[in-house]
Amino acid sequence: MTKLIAYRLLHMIPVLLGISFITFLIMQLAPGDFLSTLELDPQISQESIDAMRARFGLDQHWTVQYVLWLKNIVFHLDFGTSFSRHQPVFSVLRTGFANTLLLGIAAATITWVVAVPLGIVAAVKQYSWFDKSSSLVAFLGISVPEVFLALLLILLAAWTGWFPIGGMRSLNFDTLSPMGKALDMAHHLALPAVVLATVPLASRMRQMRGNLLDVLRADYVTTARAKGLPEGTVIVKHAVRNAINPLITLFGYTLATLLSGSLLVEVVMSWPGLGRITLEALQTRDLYLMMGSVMLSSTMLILGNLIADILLAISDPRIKV
Amino acid sequence: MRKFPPTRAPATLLFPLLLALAGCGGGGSAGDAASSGPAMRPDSHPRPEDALVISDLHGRYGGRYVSTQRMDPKTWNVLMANEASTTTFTSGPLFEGLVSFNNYTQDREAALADRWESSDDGLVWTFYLRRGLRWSDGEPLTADDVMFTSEVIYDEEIHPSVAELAKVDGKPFRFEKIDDATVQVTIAAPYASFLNVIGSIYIMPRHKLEASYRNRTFPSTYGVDSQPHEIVTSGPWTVHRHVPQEKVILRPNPYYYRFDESGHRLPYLDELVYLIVPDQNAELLNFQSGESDEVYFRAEDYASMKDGEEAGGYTVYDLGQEMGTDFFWFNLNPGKHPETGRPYVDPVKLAWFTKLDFRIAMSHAVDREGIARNIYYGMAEPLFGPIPPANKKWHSDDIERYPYDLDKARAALDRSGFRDTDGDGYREDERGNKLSFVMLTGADNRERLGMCNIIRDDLAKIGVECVVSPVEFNTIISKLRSTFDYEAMLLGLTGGVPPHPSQSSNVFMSSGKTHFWNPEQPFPATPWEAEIDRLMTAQVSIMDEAELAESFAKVQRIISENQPAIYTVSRRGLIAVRNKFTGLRPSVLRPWVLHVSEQISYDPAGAERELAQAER
Repeated sequence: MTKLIAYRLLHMIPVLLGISFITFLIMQLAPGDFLSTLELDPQISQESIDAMRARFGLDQHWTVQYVLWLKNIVFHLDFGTSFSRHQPVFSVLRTGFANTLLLGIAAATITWVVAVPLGIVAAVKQYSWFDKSSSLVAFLGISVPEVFLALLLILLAAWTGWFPIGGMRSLNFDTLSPMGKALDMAHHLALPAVVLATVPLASRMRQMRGNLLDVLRADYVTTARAKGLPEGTVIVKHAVRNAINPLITLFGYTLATLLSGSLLVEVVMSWPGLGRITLEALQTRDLYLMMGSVMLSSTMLILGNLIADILLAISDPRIKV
Repeated sequence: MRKFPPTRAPATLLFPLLLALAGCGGGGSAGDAASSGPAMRPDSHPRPEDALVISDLHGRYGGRYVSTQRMDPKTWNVLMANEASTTTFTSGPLFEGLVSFNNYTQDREAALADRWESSDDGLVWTFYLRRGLRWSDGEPLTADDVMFTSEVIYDEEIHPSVAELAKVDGKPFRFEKIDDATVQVTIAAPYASFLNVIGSIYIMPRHKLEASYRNRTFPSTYGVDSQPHEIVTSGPWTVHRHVPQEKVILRPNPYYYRFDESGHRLPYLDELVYLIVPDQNAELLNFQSGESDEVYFRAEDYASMKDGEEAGGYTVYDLGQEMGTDFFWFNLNPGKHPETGRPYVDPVKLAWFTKLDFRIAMSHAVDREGIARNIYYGMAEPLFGPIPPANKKWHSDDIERYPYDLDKARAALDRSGFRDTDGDGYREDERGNKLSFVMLTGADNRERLGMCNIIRDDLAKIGVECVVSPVEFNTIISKLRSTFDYEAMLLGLTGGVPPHPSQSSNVFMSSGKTHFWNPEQPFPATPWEAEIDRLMTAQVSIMDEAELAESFAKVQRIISENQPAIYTVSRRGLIAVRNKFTGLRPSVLRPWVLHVSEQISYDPAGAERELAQAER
């Protein structure tokens, strides 16, 4: 196991190298650079722009820029400086990273805490009104686009005043007690987390239901019932334990997508996360900020996959990694 | 600000299941924690000898004004700032220059310098700083700070964008310190926009920044990651807190030099807050739900915003026509690509585009009223010349107009020999080439795209095919700045503040980099471009404003006669501000209301009286 993890970690290096190279290449293939928008400003002279371009190193060939970027990472652990903010990339990304992680974890918690029990109940009471109505809700949840749901909920917040219109903290946040601060954040977190949780929630619930139905028909469940175990024990100890295996893999992937799934919600609901920084970096061609963000998300994705495999190995002794 | 009753909080955590229950917490109770404060604020700092007293201003201390903007500020270093989300803070609220520009009157005003004089030949200018000026940390603000700033702006490596403006004939201004409160600036030749340029040189604190300048870290100093108390300012505000992607909170500069009539130090407000809201719809909802106090909005929201005035306790201000212009033009560049040898524009089409009658026909075919009605919901006016009427001082009415008239457009095309010879509904030139061109515009701008579609439909009626092609903005830039391979393009320019003829020189001069239709010509290609060059060059040294306006009017006339760019409409600016503030001077120039942020006062009762008076 340790050997395997070490091997997988080593494997990350060529993968990340490849990702960084392709991202860098794509950023170069798109027309223009960070200073292009200034080129059309009649107030800013070409001389100023040329001087800036030289200062940022953008006047050199892109392969030279790429090698320099790699060299700085390897030798100085320096991921470069954001052009627009004149700050090291990771100091720009830090707060966004934490906020997006918070949002992702909240959404994942809602997803799993709600989806698994609902799926179990729906399977156990197959074809009951509960099963049918939860299926209906699940299909609605899968088919409503995220943006639309986000806008709908913002409208709801605006009409009712029950929730804030986006953001992460109230203006008077600094004056609140620690408990008040936590509640204030939760209040702001509710809507974006619900939007983000809806789609995976619906599909996880359907998966849980389907898996459990399969297992409930298995021979060992009949055996368990036949030897007179109480129905609750049969379902919780025997059926669910087996039905949840595939979901554990999915849980690992949830970890992997914690950072990358929330861009739309962040923009629409003004959540101060990594997605917004990345989008802005992409739009303004803030090259190294973009690279830093991509590297961060990729690392999370790879680590998430690794964790998924490890979790699976722990939960199911039949699987060897 | 929104307080939330504790009964509602637990419900939010269980939202998906308990949506209905959440309502039990009751509706939103919007209350103002920072209510109208005391009329006085303890002010222990000495009043500068030459304080600036603003007459007829009677505000109260206290309160908070909440604005919104799309993106974070990128730096507090005013010399490194070059986009609007940063300059909103650095130019004015945090830093001031020797002179400033009043957005409301569109006139120059004294700022850090309380008076100045020039020699008779206009080459030597003496600025007298106010005595007793202090930075927000209490250090004196003197001629040394001005000298330091002048050294930084001419630094070859830093090269801030103001550096190129602050040159005459390529020679930098010469700054000299006479004494602690006097600075003399010598220029090589008379320079009409000199005071405007002086106004855009924001003075930086030497005692804070000299060390970083000497060890070459100036561009990253005063970054947004600095501790707020490190950011020493000269403007009405200091940075209190910046939470990236969430908000910026400004608090009054305790040493600010402006006072009201009764001797109260400005600004009145306790806090000026900018929420960072990336989405335009969310920005509007933020305002409607009471979280922000002002919102600049689109014409399409006018009806609903106007309807909500009373219930929302706000007023919608129609700011009048804006300084920005939207226009399209044909590529008149006769050059060839230096490597492939291919002409930038198909010679057949270039021959059409260079015909004046062709361009006049195009202008006659633009339904400006229709654009105003359909795209801007009536909140725009037809525009025929390059300088919109909003530009009070420099706009000229004496221009040629080619208004919407399809018959005249057809006649102009007939005159130039474009007729439909093969009966397909489209005209051909003498050699039988069908009149057809591709018009590019930015894909991210819905309004410009709509404009293009209206123009395309009208052109079809007069037998010209216009294919609208929305492209990514960076593609447009590379076509305009390096590859030049396009036929027609529709774009817009926002007006600079303060407005001045010299700001247009890069657009009007044939050598300019944004002389869109044929940029950076070594010699003017046409007689009228030569005439514009001559006028614009002469304007640099015309010191008398009336004379300058007259010369600039000639330029506008030539542009309108020759239609190198065909102007469409100028939109009206709309802003809504809550009714609990006094001292507002809404202006069509950005930042619309907050240009007098120090004079705004939170005073619901006073605001009600003012509104009642205005209604009568």
